[in-house]
Amino acid sequence: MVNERIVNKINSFPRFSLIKNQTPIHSLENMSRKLNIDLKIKRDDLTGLAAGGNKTRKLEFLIGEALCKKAEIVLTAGWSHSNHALQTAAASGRAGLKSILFLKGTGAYRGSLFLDYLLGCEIKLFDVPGSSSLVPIMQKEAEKLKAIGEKPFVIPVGGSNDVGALGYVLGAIEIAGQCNKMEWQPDFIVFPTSSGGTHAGIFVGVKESLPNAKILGIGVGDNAEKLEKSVSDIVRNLNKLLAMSSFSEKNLKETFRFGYGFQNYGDIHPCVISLIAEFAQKEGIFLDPVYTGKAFFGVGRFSS
Amino acid sequence: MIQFIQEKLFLGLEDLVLKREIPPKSRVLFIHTGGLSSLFQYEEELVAFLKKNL
Repeated sequence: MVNERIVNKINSFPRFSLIKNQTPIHSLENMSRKLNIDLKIKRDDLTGLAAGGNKTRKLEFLIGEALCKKAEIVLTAGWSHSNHALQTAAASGRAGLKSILFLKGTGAYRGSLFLDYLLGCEIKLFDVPGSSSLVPIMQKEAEKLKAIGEKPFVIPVGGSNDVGALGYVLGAIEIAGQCNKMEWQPDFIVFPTSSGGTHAGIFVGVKESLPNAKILGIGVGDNAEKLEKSVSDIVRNLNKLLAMSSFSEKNLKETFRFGYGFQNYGDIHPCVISLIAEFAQKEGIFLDPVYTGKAFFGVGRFSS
Repeated sequence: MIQFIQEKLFLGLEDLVLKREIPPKSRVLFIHTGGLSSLFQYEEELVAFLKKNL
């Protein structure tokens, strides 16, 4: 069995357990009716770490690697609303590691930033154009820490590298198992794509476990060319890690959908706000304004 | 911090094609990737918009 081989291979990597149960899949009856499709939702907002989210899957392997390397302090970067940063601080705390967050923003301590503060991590705020500007600052800090005998471990923006993406290969296999049990095979799997790790993991995992499903990664405002390259690089490295055969760049490129970022990452369009309110009122589930709100807006556009 | 972009939504020719990409009755799985806490980062701006427009 291909899946069994991949799962065994993934299980050979260091892993720090953060997700205790499979996240649910259930129908969205009201939105299905509205869009005239058979719509279900995979609740990776219920992973059980901090406020939940996709980053938990990546952090199981990233924190696992940090512990394996005897790291004592974890560094990562993102916007001040970053769920990745929040989840990293929470996962680090659970693993007994300190954490430093390098965040774009100068705002008040509310939302994710408030929760970061509650988690007791060190927070460094910068007024920079985007999170990529924080990477050299974070690297420099890691060097400084090394020089004074500390053991830092740098997690990339979004936790997006080959090791982090292992979590979403398993995530896709989990989805396939649940769909088989429900006797419901998706024609499309839709998700937001930004730093690339989730997209890469799903691409590899779905190809192996749900080969008939078409995946659609909805860009939320990042530069399209850079994002495509980033996902392609992660898939290539992931295939090496898992000793898998090569992939088709053309097939990967076909999984991106841009045009729903509404100018830039972090910009919030009134259409998305209205959709978040409608989704909450119809389904009792909250989407976020930066990722899932925009991605779901894409679903409506594609199926209208 | 929040930027309400008021320009008319322009999705381009590509979107006209994509609109039919998910046919009626298709089985679609949407992955909710979380991020609830970020809603609270923008709550004042979101409430102001909703009061004005909905």
